[in-house]
Amino acid sequence: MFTGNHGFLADRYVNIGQKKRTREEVIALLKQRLAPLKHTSDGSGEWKRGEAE
Amino acid sequence: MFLDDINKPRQEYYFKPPGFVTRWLEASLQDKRDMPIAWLYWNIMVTMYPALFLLWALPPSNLLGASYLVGFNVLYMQRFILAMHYSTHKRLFKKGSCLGASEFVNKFNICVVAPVFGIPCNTYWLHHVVMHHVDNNAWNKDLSATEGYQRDSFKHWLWYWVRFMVGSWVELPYYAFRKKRWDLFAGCFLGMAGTMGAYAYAHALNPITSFWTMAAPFIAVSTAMMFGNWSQHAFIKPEDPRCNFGLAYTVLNHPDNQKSFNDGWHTLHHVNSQLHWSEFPETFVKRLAEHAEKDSLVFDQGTASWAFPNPGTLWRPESQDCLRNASHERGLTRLTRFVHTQSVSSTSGSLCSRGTTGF
Repeated sequence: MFTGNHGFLADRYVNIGQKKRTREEVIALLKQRLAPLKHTSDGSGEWKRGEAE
Repeated sequence: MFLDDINKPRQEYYFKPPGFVTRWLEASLQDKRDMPIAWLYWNIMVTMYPALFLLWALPPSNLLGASYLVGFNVLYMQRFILAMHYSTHKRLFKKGSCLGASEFVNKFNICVVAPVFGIPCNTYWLHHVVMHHVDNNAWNKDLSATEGYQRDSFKHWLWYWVRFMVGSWVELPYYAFRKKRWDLFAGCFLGMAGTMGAYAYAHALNPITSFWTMAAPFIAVSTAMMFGNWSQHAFIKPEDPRCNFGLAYTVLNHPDNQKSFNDGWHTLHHVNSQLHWSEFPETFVKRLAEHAEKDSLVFDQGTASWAFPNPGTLWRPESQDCLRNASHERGLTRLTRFVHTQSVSSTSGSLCSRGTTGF
């Protein structure tokens, strides 16, 4: 992943019954799940989906 | 597509102990399926410890020290970390065994063997079982949480690694203190103080040998563990970062699964930390629909993946003509049957498994 070659893992992604995804959609999914979660100010101490700080 | 992991022989240990040792272990282990863990510990005891004592007995030598570090880390580090991991989650020796000293012997891994690999004495249980599994990778709670970082950035990983290397000496005992877990606080504090004190004493005696047997292993094992945890929790489902099916992923058919007590099945380990490591492949098959429903990530690292032009279609029922491998008949049969079942069943919107199920 450090090399930015997300396609390497996308080629090894196994669909176990999820909705059908193209290689590009798998790469987008992986990038989405690699992004940092942004801290919220709601006092919950939880992190939410967001941009890198 | 086949599930190679079900049938492959274990490779966690290199050689078995004499028969009388195995017979004693059979009578003493809590779960006989953990024999590979016990045999690996035996391997370490009869090879690495004599080498360690020999290194201290010989005149200081950077060449010998470096050979010791590289040789034994290549042989054992990954295997030991995972053996310690599973034998910390579940007791290795049953109560009343080991001449009544089973409680002490069960701590042997984190108190006596771990420091030889550079892990401070008596810290692993607090860090992994109490902090990591309970707080489940949550930022500002779990010292080794990954979710605040850009997890394909080497710069972010470096920051994560430095934070662990430096911060764990303070954050870990402070965590137990803040939770008012006084027994854990005292154990961790004393373990860390003992480790630092032993290093200071050893350094005064022989700085070269102490570097290769204590300081360098700490750097090496901390790097390996933080790289491992970062990798295991690299992909996090942003909609539900505390869902166990979304904060880790599964790696099928990787050769390391046979060397690391099925470490590729990290999702299931978080779903149920008490599930025995040998049960991961079959449990995965049984709970495949749940993985799919929660959009859990699964990767196939076996050679079979090279054969498919469109990996996104793997395991769909129409792809089952690819299921060909007589030597993996058992795994094939189960997977085939399950995929058929799954293809006709509807999925429910059950709540996601969160946190640990106990330890």
